[in-house]
Amino acid sequence: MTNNQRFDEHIKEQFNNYTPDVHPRIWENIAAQRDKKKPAGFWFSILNSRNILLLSALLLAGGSGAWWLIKNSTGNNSTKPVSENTAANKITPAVAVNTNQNTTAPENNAIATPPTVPANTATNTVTGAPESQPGNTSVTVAGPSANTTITNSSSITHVRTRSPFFEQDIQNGPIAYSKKQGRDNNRVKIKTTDGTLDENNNEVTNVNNDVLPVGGTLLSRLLYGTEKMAATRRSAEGPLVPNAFGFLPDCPALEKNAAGNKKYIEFYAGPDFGFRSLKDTGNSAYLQKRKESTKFTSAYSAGVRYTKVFSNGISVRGGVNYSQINEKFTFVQGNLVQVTYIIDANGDTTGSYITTGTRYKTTHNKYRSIDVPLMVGYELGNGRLHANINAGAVVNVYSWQRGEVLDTTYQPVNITTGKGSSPYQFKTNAGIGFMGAVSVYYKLNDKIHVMAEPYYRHNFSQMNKENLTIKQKYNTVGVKVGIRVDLR
Amino acid sequence: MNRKIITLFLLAGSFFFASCQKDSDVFVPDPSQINGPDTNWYNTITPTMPVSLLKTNLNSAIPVYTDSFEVNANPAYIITTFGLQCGFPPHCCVTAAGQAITGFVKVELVLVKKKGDMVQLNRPTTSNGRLLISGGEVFIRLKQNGQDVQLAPNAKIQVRFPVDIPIATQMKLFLGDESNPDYFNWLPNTDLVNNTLTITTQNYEIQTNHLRWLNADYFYDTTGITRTTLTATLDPQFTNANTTAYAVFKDFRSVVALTGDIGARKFISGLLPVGKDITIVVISKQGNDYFMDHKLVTTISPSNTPGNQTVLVKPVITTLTDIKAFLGTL
Repeated sequence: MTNNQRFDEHIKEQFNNYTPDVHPRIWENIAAQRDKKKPAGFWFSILNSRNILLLSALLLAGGSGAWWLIKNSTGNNSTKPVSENTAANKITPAVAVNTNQNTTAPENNAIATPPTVPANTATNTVTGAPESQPGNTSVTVAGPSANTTITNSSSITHVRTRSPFFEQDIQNGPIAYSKKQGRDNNRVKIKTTDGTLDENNNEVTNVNNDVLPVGGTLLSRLLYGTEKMAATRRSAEGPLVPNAFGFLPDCPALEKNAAGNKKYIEFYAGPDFGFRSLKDTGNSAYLQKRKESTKFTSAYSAGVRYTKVFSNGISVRGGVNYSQINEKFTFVQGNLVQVTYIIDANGDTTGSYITTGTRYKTTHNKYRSIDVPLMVGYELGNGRLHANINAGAVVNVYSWQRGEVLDTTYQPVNITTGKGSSPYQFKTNAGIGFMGAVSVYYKLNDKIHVMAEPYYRHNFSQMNKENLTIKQKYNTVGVKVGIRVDLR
Repeated sequence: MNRKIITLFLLAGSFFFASCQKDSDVFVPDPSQINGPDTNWYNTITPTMPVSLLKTNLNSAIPVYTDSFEVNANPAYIITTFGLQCGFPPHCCVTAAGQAITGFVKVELVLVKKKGDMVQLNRPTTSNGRLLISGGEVFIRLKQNGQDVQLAPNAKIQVRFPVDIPIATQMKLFLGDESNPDYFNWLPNTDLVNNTLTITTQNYEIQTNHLRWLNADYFYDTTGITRTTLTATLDPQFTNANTTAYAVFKDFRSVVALTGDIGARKFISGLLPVGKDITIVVISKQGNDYFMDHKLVTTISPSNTPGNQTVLVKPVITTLTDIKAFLGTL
């Protein structure tokens, strides 16, 4: 073992488990600065200051990288020896890895690009520029909770971290994605390995393009995306062609597991709008009178529910929901004779008189129900904004009503639950319905989200008892607002 | 952020309060009508006023005996179960135009001997304001084909009904005057040739050429007797448009109607002998409801009252059946 190798091993042992802490307020402060600016809407929140900076950096890096790649691809097709360590092979580091310094990437789930770690047997400094060396040299790359080693085999320099998520292979020069003939060999092959060895004691690697680096600087992470795009395009048929917006990278995908494996309890309330369906056999005159006598006025719902979001984004939720639909019943009766009695202090009726007129009756009907919604959905989002698309069944536990409707003689009849027995009263159990919703959450702090949820509810059964030919039911749309409490 | 929360709560509160609306059931009277009891007194009582309907309803409660006879060359006799007997001479009937008629003629007969029936029929026993003591009132009507018929010239009918014990020999024949629908009057018979009253040991026998109301009465002798008036005071909703009032003597068959004084807005009687027990009966009809009160008073000398005797009467709601039942006890 050479002195350098011993030194490398020593350094490796010393910094084996070193994970320097990042102040927890770094990203929160950055996010707070961004939140000072009030978003005008959901779409504006995407284009906040941080994302604009990222986008600008991506544009710059992508343009630079594309220019550089195009320049290199049109200039020299010969492969460069592995041993060469020229400045031209160096690219702007996305992640600076230095075994001496053991710099680490901040611990967060922000956009992270894998460190482009070249091997440097001299200084063991990985600056993002792949400088592969022949032989088996190893360089320790310190990342967040990872222990990265870089070993150089004959022609491939492997950069392996103990993080289970990724491993890089640096091959003879700058970062590249393929070793196809005629391509620039100065590329980094990103591979993953589970550490198994083949019969030749070479590590079995699998190409995985969905690899995100840990550690490193922000700019190196930006470059990673740019290089990935450039490499992808270069690997495709034809040269890299700029699009109308320059060399923009793909839009960053929403982080699936942003709310993974969490439990929440949510409290909500909000206005609804009811769409009434009223049908009768033969479109009778009674049906027309019923329609004319009642009109939807307002509705609202409120409730509490428990939501469990699994690590794969799938969510299940259940709770208790109270909903109320208000309806106005009007009844006008003309040519009415009203008798008024005069009663003296002793309680004796000592007189009466008759007045003719018109009766105007207004009753505010209320249709109330207690339901248990059982919803399945998918939740996704970044640090501040989550979205949950869900649908499922709504099981009615109990329904009760209050008010009046017209009977077949066009007279008011009481439909209040529990007040007598009338065929015009409604069911006390409406059965099962369907509900679909899109929930949007905005994080206020670690515990609290505010929620807005437009939804649609469809009831399958009518509300009337079966002994009536007339059928009435309500379907509702609404918006629920509330808060979500993280139970972790 | 605080403003957002406050706005959110206000919006939520508005939805909750919007659902807390009160039901209403409002009766809106038609325009141009009195929205309360009619407390007006009227100079003229029309057939559509409640008091007219009241009297009609009370009249209909008295049973009318009906029969028929054939107008021909033979006399006809009708004998009722309640003691009233009528005899009709041959060819005694003509039309209203004076044409002789033949064939069957319908007879309607009523005998009134109860004071309550006199109240129901609104046939008080007064003659030009003077108190009469009645031996009984008779009503006779002849019809053919729904039209009233008259007695032929020189035709006289005989009417006989039982006397009271003791027999009042001073009874005279009085004929009913229906010219004023608001005030029924008995007129002493002045045609002693065609209209006579004979008192037998069992019956009053009247021979007359009049149909309709006949009465055997005599004047209450008020010579040297102190008299007073009775005034019934009522609540404002009892007016001459919906109320009738009577003074019914307890000891003899006399009924006096209290007339409505528009100026005083009260019901006032004529001069009545003092020291007599009288039942003041007030009956009213308002809407479809009946009201009645009765007070038993003893007339008092006017020297002890300011000119008349006032009786406070407060009719309360009752039924027509109850009114008839009470009047039957008078």
